[in-house]
Amino acid sequence: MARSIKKGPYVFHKLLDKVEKVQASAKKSVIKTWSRSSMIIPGMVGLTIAVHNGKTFIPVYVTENMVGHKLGEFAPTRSFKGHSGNRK
Amino acid sequence: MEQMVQVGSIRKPHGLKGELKVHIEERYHTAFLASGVVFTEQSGQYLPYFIVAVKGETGDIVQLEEVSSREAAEDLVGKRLYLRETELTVVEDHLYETWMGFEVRDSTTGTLIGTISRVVEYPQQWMAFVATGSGKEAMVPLVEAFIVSVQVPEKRITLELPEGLLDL
Repeated sequence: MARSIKKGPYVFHKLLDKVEKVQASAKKSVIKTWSRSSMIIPGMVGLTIAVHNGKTFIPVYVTENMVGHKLGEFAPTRSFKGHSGNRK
Repeated sequence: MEQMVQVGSIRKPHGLKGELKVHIEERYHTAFLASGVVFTEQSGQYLPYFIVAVKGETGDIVQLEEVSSREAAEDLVGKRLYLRETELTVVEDHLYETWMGFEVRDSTTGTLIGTISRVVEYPQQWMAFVATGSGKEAMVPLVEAFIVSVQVPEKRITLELPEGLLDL
């Protein structure tokens, strides 16, 4: 068995606590997190997680096809606006 | 009269056989290729031109019917290109971009949240930047779970937003 399979997916424990708390409540409020390296687990589907990109929180609505990816993949840290020479 | 949407413009002639180098906005590219007919405006009238061929790596060289010489092509330089609005509705990939300027209302309270100032494609979702009355710009993911109704003629979107989304 590979080490990563034995250990399971990484989710920051405080984020996991917040996810469980929101899932238990009727209100699906936004969860703020700085943990970009946490993996999206099936329990997060349908929740809105605000992922920090180094500057602001980017709200990410979690869908089924995001499961298995890291949260940081959906909150880009850079915004390319084109080279100055290409402006017309 | 049919509603027209500007999708790009004619930049310059290409070659000697009436081909034209055009600039088409990226979001309308699929609709432009699928349409088969494009319009130019001349003294308040929209004149149709049938697209005979599209060439080039990015599809920016176009041969139009009845434009078969460089002189005829030069007459069209600088003209804006239009498509029928009805042809654009089929392009769902860039549907959200047409929502710029729409007002956003909360479904539970019915209050005005703000106006969509821009729509940006993010990984896996489109993001609307809503200019709120307080001068802030709130990010709202445009996902089916949040959208209650879209009234295009009134330019209004009603959303059911989770608690805390506008306070980020």
